[in-house]
Amino acid sequence: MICVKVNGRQETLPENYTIAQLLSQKELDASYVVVQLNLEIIERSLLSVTTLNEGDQLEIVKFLGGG
Amino acid sequence: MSFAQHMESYDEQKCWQLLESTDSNKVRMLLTKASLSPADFLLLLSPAAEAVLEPMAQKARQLTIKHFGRNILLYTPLYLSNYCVNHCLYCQFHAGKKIAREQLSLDEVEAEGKSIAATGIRHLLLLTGESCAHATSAYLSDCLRKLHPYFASLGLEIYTLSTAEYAQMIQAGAESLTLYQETYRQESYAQLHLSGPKRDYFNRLNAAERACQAGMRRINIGALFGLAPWRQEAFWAGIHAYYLQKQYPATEIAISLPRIRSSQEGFTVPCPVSDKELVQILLAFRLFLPQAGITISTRERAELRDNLLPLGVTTMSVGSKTTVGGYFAGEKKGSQQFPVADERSIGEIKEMIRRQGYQPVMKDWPNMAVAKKTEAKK
Amino acid sequence: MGKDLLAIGNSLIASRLFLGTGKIPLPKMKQVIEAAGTQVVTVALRRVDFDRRDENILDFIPDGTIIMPNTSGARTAAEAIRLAHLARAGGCGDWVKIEVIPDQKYLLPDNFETLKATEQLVKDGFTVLPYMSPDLVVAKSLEAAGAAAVMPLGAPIGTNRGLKMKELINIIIEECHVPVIVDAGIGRPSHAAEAMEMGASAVLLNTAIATADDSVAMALAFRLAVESGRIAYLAGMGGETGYARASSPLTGFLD
Repeated sequence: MICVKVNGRQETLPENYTIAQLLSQKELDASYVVVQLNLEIIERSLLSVTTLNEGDQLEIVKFLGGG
Repeated sequence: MSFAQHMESYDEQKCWQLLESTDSNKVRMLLTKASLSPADFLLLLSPAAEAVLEPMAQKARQLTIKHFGRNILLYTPLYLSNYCVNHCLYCQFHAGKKIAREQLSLDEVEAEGKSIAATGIRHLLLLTGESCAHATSAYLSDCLRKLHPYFASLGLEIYTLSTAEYAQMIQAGAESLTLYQETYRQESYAQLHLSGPKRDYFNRLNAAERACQAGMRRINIGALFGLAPWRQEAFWAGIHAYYLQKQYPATEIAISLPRIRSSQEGFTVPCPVSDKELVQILLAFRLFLPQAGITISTRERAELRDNLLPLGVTTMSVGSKTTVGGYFAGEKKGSQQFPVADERSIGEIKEMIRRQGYQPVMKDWPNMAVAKKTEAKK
Repeated sequence: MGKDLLAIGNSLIASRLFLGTGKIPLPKMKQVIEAAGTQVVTVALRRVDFDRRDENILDFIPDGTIIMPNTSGARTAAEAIRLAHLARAGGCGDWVKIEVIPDQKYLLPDNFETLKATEQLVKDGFTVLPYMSPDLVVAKSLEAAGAAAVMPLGAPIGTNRGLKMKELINIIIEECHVPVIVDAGIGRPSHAAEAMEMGASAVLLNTAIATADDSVAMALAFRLAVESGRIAYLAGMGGETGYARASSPLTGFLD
C-alpha cells in the first residue's frame, strides 16, 4: 500500500494504482476534471497510464459557477 | 505598429468625401461634446465648418484657458549651421542654393547663447541643416552641453536621427524635438524633396515616434502648410499628434502651424492657405487636442499673431533670427532660411501678451542641472 | 445598420453582455443565458469536494458559448498563472479572466500582480482579460502586455452600486485601443446602459441577475439595456454642456 495526498486529504491506495482508477473510485468523470500531480498537469489521455507513488500530491479540480 | 501603418487604417477616399458632405449643423453639434473622435475632427476641417468659426473660437479659447491657463510660453530659435545636402524646393538653405555656408564654432555657440539668455529667454530651439560632414550628432551634443547651463529647456529642430541618437541628444540635454513632416502627402513629398536623405518619406514619418521611444520629453510636430491641400494636411497632422499622444502618454505632444509663403527666389506656393483657413486649422487642432501645445512662429505677421493668440495658441517664438547665429555676431552671417514677419522685440511681445490679459512665460520647466549648480554656488 | 461585432482574441461576438455564472441555480442556467443572449460566460475552478455529488456546470451551458474561466481564489500572480493553466487543461479554450484578489474585505484586485500574470499568460498563448481597478497607467500597461481587453470595475464586486468609478473608466475608454469591459458593480439595467452609452465595449455581470427574484426576466432586462446603451452610443449622443458666449467676437478680424 502507498500513501498519497488527494486534495489535501491523506489516502491509502494499492500499489500501481492509476489516476484513472482513482477517479472512477471517486465516481468522477475524467472529462469533467483536471488533474495535477505534484504541480504538473496530467493530460487526460495519460490518466490511465499514470500510476501513483508513495508521497504523491494530487489535486483534482473542476469548473463551477463563478463571476 | 508605426504611424505609417496607422495611417493605412483610414480610408482616405471616404475621409475626403465626408469632408465635403457634412453640414454646419453637424459641426455645431460637435461643440457640445466632451471629447472629439478623429471623424469629428475631420468635420471641423470641412468647408461647412467655415460658418461655425466664431463658436469654434469661443470654445477653443475656453478649452485653452482650462488646460493651460492664460499663459504664453516664449522661445527663440538659434541656427547653428546651414550646411545641407537635402534639396527641398521651398527652403532657402537647400543644397542647390549658392549661399554662404556657415557653422558656428562651440565658442560662437556659447556667445550666441549668452546673448540670447541675457534677453531673459530660457527656452531655446537649435536648428541645423543636414550634413554628416558638418552638424554631426557629436557636434550637436557638444552644443547642447555648452548651452545647457544658460537655459531651462533646449529643443532641437534638426534632421532625423535613430532612436539611439535621440537618446544621446537627451543625455546631452535636449528636452524637446520639433520635427515637421512638411507634407503628409507622399506624392507632394516626392515632388518637393528632390535629393538627399530627407527624400525618404517614411523615415521622416516615423522619426517622431523614435524620439518618443528614446524618452524625449516633448515633441512638436506639424505640416508646412501651403505645400499640399490644407484640409488633408491638417487632418493627418492632427491624427499624427493624436496617435502619438495615445501611444506615448509619457511624451508631451505639441503641434505647430507653420505656413510657407512665396520666397523671393521663385518658389511658388502650390496650395496657399489664407488667414481664415489658418484660423480654421488652429481651432480644429485645439478642439480635437485640448491638451496639445500649439505654436505660432514669427513667420506670421505681428497683427495676425496678436489675433491668433486667444484662439488656442500656447507657445510663440520671439526675437527670431533665421540666419546662422545672428544674436551676438549681428547679421553678418548671411542669408535667412525664411523671412521673419514679426520683428518685434521680446519686450514688445511681452507687452502685447499682457495687454491681451495673458502672462508671458519664459520657462515652464526647470533645468535641474542649472538649479543644482546655482544651489552649489550658495 | 451593419453587424456590430466585438472582436476579442480570435472571436467576433455579437452580444455585449458577458455573464458570470456564480449563484445561478444549474437548472435555470440555460434559460438565463438564453434570455440574456450571452455568448461569453465566466466559470470558476475549484477543488473537487468528494463529499458532494455536484452536477457538471458545463452540461448546463449552451453549445457555442465561449467559456472564460476566472482565476478567483488567486492572491498572487503565480497562483493566477497556475489556475489559468489548470483551466486550459479543462478543455474550454484559451480565454481566461485574470482575477487576483488579496483583499478579502472589499475584494479589490491587485493591479500589480494582475499585470505580472497578464504578461506571463499572454506569452503562454492565452486570450487574457484582466479584471482591474480602473487606473489608466495600469490599463495601458496591460494593453502593452498583450491583454485582449481590460475589465475595470464599476464598483466593488457584488455591491450593485453602479458606475462609481465612472470618471476613471471614461479615461480608460478614451485612451485604450483594446476593448474596455466594465466588470463588477453593475446592479441595474440602467447602470449597464450607462456603461454602454459611455462607450464601453461590453459589460460583465453576475450578482444582479443571479440574485433577482426572477433571474430569467432580469437577464432579458439587462440584454435590452445593453443593446439600448450600445445603439445610443453608436448613434452619437448630443452633449449636455453648453458653452458660454463671450461678449466680444474672437474671429471678427477675419471679416
